Amino acid sequence: MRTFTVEAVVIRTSKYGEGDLLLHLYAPDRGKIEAIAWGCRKPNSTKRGGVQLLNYGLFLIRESKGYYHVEQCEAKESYSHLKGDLPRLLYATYIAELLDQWTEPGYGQPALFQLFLYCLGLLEKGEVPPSLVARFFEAKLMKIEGYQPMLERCASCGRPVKGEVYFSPVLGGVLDGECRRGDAQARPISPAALRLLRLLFRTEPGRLGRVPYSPAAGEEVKEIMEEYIGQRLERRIKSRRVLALVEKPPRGRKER
Amino acid sequence: MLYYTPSVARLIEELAKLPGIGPRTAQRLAFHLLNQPKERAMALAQAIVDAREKVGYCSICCNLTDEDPCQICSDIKRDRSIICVVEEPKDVIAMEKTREYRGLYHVLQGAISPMDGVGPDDLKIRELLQRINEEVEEVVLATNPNVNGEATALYLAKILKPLGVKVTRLAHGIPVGGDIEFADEATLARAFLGRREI
Repeated sequence: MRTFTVEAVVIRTSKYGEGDLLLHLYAPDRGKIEAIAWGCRKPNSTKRGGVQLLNYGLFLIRESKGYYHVEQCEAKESYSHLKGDLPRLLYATYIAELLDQWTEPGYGQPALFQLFLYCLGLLEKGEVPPSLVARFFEAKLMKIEGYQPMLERCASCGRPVKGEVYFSPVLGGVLDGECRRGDAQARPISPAALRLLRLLFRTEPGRLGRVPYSPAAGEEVKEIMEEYIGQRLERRIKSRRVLALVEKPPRGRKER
Repeated sequence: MLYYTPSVARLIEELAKLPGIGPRTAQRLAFHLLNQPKERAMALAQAIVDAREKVGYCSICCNLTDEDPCQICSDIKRDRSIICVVEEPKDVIAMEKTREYRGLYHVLQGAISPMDGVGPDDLKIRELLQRINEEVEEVVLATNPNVNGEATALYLAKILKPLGVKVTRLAHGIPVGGDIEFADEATLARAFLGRREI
């Protein structure tokens, strides 16, 4: 039995037992940690505030028989503005789920941790459209993990692309008109979407606010990245469905 | 090797499916039931069957009930101008224990949970919207003060406000009997925001 302190962010919470939570924490050096916070759903728990989803803080963890238990915690940042705005909150849960699904326990990636905190910070400030933050996170996640698609040259023949351009999630990059025949799943990509996609992979954190962003190009990039990530992840990101449902108007409303 | 007779093994197996009951506890409960007079065991079995067959959801508030509409919805002494929205039927019980609230309820049967794929369509939100009429003046959002509860409250506020009804949220703060010293930063910050004059 040993204890250690870790700086981490809560990327997933699920109910466990009567008053407990199973947390997925993401730490820069240890990666994902699955730990149980006993009694933290009860009003008198001192851990209650620190273990909320998307909180960044310090956690004292006890390891016993291969399981991790949260002994103490203190929130450094609870992103209260983000949590008070529905679209920003949903986009934040989306990138948290993406990080949770992409990573496995025990493999730390400090760059990924910094990227996640940076994106949460952007969503907290609310100066950049939340959908652009999500696209930036997707692009940088792929880049850090070594899955950056080929966007300048054809992923099949290697020649610079011109004219009609297609994106192939399977081959991992753009294709020219001739090579497109080799991949039936390849979809056409507009010049605006291709420009945005290239910018997302190239832009350094801190300069995202300067990226020209049109909702139409953003929507196209969203669909492309969804297919591209889905091809590699082989799992479904559930929060995408909820995001789409919340963005559409509800049915059955009775006006007064 | 078979340790129990088939009927006892089945009883243990069924009891072990209940939440918080492991195989050892299931075994203890099974033997306790077998040692009880037959009438007591039969009464328990009958209670389970009755509850399962009679209990359903109230067609108005979606709370668990064995008569439709439920006792709260059919009580004429209740204030019909205010609806308190909660996540689960057990939240209604917690509210009723306060004896402070005399309005009606609406049970959503859950909360928006993006990571679990639970969206507004999976909750009893359409039923809530159908209840908003001239009589209703206020809707109190009493979802849990966690991220899913907040997301649900924000979504409900977004769709209820255009209907011209007053939408309020339960206050957040330090629990009664608790020490400020042990309160976390988020709770204290919210308690400050929600302070009131005395």
